[in-house]
Amino acid sequence: MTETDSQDTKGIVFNFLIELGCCKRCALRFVGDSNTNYDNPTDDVKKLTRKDLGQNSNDENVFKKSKPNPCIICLDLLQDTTLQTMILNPELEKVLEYDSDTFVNYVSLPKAVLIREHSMEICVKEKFPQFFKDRNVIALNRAWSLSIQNKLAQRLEKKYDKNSYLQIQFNTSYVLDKEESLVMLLLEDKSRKHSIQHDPLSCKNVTSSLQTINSELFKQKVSIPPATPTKALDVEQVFYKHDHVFIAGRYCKYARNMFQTPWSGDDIQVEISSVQEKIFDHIENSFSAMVFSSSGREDFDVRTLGRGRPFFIKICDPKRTKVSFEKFRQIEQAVKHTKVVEVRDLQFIDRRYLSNIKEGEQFKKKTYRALCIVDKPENLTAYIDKINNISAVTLQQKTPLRVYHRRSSDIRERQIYSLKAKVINGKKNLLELDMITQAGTYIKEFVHGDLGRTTPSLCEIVGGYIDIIALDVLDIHLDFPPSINHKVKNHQTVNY
Amino acid sequence: MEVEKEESEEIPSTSSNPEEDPGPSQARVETESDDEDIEIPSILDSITQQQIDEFRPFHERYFEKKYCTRFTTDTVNLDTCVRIHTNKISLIYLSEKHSVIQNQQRLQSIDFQVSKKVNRLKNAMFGKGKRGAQLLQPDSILCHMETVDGARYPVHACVYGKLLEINSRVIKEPNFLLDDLNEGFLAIILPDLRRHEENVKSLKSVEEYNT
Repeated sequence: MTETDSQDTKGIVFNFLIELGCCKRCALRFVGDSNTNYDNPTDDVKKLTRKDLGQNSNDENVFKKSKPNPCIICLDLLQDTTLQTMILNPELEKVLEYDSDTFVNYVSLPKAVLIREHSMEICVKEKFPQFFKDRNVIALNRAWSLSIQNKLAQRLEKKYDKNSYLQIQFNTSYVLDKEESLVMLLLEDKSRKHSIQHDPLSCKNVTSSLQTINSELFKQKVSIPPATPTKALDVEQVFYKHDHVFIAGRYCKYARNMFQTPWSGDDIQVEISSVQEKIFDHIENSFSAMVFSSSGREDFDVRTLGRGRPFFIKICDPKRTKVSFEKFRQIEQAVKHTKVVEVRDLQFIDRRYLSNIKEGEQFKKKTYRALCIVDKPENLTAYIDKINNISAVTLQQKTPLRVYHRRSSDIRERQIYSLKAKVINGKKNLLELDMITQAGTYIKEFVHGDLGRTTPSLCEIVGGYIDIIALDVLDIHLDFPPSINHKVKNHQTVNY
Repeated sequence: MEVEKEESEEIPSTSSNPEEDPGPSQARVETESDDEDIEIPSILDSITQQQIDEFRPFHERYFEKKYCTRFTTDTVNLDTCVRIHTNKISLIYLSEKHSVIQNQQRLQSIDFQVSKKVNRLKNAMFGKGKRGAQLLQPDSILCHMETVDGARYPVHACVYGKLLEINSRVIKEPNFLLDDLNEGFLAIILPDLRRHEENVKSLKSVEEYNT
């Protein structure tokens, strides 16, 4: 086929569709190519109607003569008036509050429209089999998106990007939707019945049904081409949200009287602050709801030192998403000023790396330092020798008494990978104990034995009474998030 | 938070190309970071001398000591000591004034089959709520101690609650119950929270017990 022939056929198909009652954009979907300008289709339409057998060169008349009824496929979704209504929605003002440079837009379609589209596809493929042999029809959503994108970009002062985190959802409805889509129940493919759960008339199910439905069966129940509608679809609300973003880091806790997250019990004063609050105070302001998550947690009276415990914060629907390298460092400094909490390695992180942190909770080793007191100072050196002679220990820990009220009864096997004790200058009854243990080990119980319910205990090992006065977490052996090199300024997030 | 115009660190766009985004672990810049400069504050300095001096052993630290005298008669002292943890879990011990201890008797065995159907050693439970655990009332019998000279002494639960555990060290060696009044508890009981106040009221404090 030569190009002019092809252009001819395009014109024929185009006019065929217009005569049937399609709007100009719908007709273009069937004949257009990648250069079609859905935003402003005047030129494309002109080209196609130039070879029209009709006498009028005035395009407007082409459409005047078409019936005042809505487009038989899209129910006027793709008409200028509808698009205009959508653009002018006052709700979109609020989208300007988001600092995201990009957006992506979606539209919900009434099921009736999907059915009409399917019907028209069957119709044109039967009428023009050669033309449609290798040709794909542009989908309604896509055409709608192309039609409205530029105007939307202007209105929102942002750029369209199909991968954008800022999602704007336009909704539509159609009064006769239920009636027109009831036919899908009659067309239900018996063999697929079991896989269509719940609502066979849901959008998702209708779409998948249409993909596999037998054309002959369809033609029996649904008019080909689609019947002329009397009502157009209605534009409903627009919804918008920015996908969650995540900030990761590591925190240190220097206080021995602080929870990790705010206490939710009823019998303890709420004045005791938490690590979470100290961090949130300096991060938020215009961010929306935030959720704190970490790789495990330490007791109220235990400090976390060294490079700290990995954590991340989920920020829901953030309006502010641009935080510079310097700003993160400023936040770190501000938190440092509280003297009780410190954070490091603050950075945005993509959600796909988050599983690392929760896996780490169960499998990663931890390094602890304990300050221990002994019953008999004269035995101190002997105890220290006994401890240092041990290379590793395997523990059987019954559920510790202190958590027994809220945990199930169990015996947990845990490893202590190394133990090292040393004297403390000037203290006759104290020793300092460094240990590397498996995740999930109850350290305090290992030292004092929990009345025989953790065995072997340090008491058993030294052959006397030894207890723990203070405990510090020195390291959580998990490399998350990537450490920030302060000397490198222009930190590239994507290639970290 | 102001919007930074320069050097913005924006959200990484979803990159479907794995080579562009090696992920955290591979691209980590180790040695040049500040890790080696991280100071570890002294653990000794993080507590006070007072805390060291006032430090009490585990069995005293979190527990309030109480006594149950309601089963003692004129002929025999069956007092028990109930240590209540801050989380309300209660441990049952023999009191130092218990006849068996006062008379310096030795145990031959402990019988946990307290009735035809109930054996305290066959206590099975599921989950955090400890469902299926044996229910106890103050006069429920935890066990019968059998001395070498053939005497039998019951030990009562003293509180309303669920039986969680019998001390495995006592099962192994019954006389541990007599020899170590700090670590030799008999049973761990999860008290019935609705009746916890009642439980506590029915017990005597250390001062009351010793006057």
